[in-house]
Amino acid sequence: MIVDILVLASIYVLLALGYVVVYRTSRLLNFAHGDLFMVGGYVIFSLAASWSLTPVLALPAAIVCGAIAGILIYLILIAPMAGHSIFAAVLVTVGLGIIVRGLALIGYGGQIIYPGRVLGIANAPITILPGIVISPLELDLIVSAVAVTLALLAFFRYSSLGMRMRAASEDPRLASFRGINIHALFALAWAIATAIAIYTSALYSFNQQVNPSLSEVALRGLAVALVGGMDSIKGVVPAALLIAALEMLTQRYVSAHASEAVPFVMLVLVLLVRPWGFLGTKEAIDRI
Amino acid sequence: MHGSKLVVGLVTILSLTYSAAVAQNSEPYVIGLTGDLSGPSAGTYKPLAEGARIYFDALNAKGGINGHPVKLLTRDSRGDPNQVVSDLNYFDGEKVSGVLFTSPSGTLGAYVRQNQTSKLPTIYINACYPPSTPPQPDPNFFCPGISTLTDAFTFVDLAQKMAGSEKVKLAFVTTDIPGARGAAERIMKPRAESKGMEVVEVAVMPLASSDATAIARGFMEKGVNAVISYTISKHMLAGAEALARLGWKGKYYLFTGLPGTFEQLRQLKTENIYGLDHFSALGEGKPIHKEILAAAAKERFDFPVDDVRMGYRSAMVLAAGLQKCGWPCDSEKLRGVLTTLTVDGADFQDLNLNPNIFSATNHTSPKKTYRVFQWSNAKNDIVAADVPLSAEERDWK
Repeated sequence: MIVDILVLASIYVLLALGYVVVYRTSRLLNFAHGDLFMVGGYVIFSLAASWSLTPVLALPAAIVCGAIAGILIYLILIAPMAGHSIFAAVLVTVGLGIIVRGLALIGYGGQIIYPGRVLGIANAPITILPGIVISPLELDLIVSAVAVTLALLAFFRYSSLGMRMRAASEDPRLASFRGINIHALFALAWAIATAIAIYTSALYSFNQQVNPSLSEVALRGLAVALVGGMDSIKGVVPAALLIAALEMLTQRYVSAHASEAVPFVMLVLVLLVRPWGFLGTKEAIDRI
Repeated sequence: MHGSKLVVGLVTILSLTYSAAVAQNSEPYVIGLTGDLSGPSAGTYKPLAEGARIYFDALNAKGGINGHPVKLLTRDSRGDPNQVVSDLNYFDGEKVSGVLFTSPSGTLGAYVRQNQTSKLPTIYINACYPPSTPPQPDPNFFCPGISTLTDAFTFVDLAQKMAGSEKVKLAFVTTDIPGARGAAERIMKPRAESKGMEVVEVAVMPLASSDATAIARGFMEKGVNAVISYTISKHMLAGAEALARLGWKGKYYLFTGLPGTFEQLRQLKTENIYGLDHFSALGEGKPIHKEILAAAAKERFDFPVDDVRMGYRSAMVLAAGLQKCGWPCDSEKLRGVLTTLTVDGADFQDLNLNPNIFSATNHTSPKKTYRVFQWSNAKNDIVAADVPLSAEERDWK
């Protein structure tokens, strides 16, 4: 049970961070994030299979592909929306998600694929305590969630780029007057978020499978981001742990069906009681 | 000698070309085809529709039926009951002779209700449910194959047979949809208990979920040594994959007769997963297998090739009906033909493992011989396990 909670929470952390990075930089809710996560598994599988990439190469390739995809999405679809309402840009992300889903269906016929098995990635279970086993790729997910969270916290707090991104999110117009290239910063945010999505997708699908319904898993990541606070990287961690634990307990002691609703019940409760989330800022929610 | 072979070859080519040309120039048999070609279930149902499509494309290239090509009017029902009704109305207006319908049980009710008015003889491409089943099938609804009820019984028989003298601690992985859940809870569980097996758990996965890791861990903690999963392919495979990943050593039984699972056995490369199947594998090398592989390659079947089998088989049954119906063949005449249709050619049986025999009281097959497939590390391929299994169709109450 504890292993299940940690693995699920790690997936949620990685997914939620993608939403948070884009939101805290550009105040945009990216509804295509889940579909990018889903299609990433298919694309990385195709790349790894075509070029015979080992996981050591496939995972960095996932990060690079994700970053490039993120920059392209920003430049082609989001940047032209500058000056329009946020709502219009959000609708663009909804449309992008539908297109990505359609392309995945056309390209892969909705098939379930086991990239890890097909590519022969060793993932034999490790016994960590008597009766408790974990696969190496599940361990990678946990380590990645911790590492990415710490790296993003450090990036936004200590790096000049991160500080500029914070400034751009506070007041884009003022940041622009001060000579900060806000389009470059927003593109960077999209690159980071999409890179995390594709990297997570690669790890998830190497461990388990890739199928079209993975976008729904990512939707639960959005609930985690909202519960934690849309502009809070730190908030994602307790939200993910709490939702994953409640989900697993509900699945074990109530029903699997009820467990599916847990992230969204939590979301509604948090929105009613504390709309800015566990660790989000009060002002940020006004702008959603 | 070479000269006579050349002449025979030329005559054959010319006659085939001529008959194909005649067929292309003749008025076609018009058949409606509707199913989930897009939407969440398309991964299962599009290959079924495509299997039928490539059969008729290949048939038309060889001259069609009774000198007439078969024209498919294809509509995408998208898993939407309202769209299914609209498709049937469209087919009715186009005066089709019959319909091929491939969609999950969720749209079946809407289709059957609407077809009380349209009265179009329909071949259902899927595992069989009422109203094709005995003892009182719908006069317009036919399903080549065996019903899910009989499959469910057979799964339990297979688990018992494979266990030998070992005490079976059985669990089920199913989906929160009425057909699959009912089969696990109301058919397989009581049957397993009546055969002395201990049923530890029926794990019901929500439709949207695809991760069975927690379920798998639970099974392992409870000492489960056999799992049956007879539901949507996503969940059958989720359970199999999760248990394999966690190093479980028991026996896992799933269904490979529908698209989306056979090729996945090849990907999972796990010897303790057993696929109960309605068909022979295309790798078995008989003439029908070669014919299907050639048609799939030529007519561009964009899915794992074994996923073509059910759609192709169902189209063979419809083609046999049209052949017997003659020309012209309207829906009323085709309905009459299908009601007593027997398809028992060698090619058909090599694929389907049984003849297809429709009768007034049963619009499925009366008997099913099964294959059981599993991955073999030694052969590095999927092989048919030596488990003779057959069952007779049961009355649905």
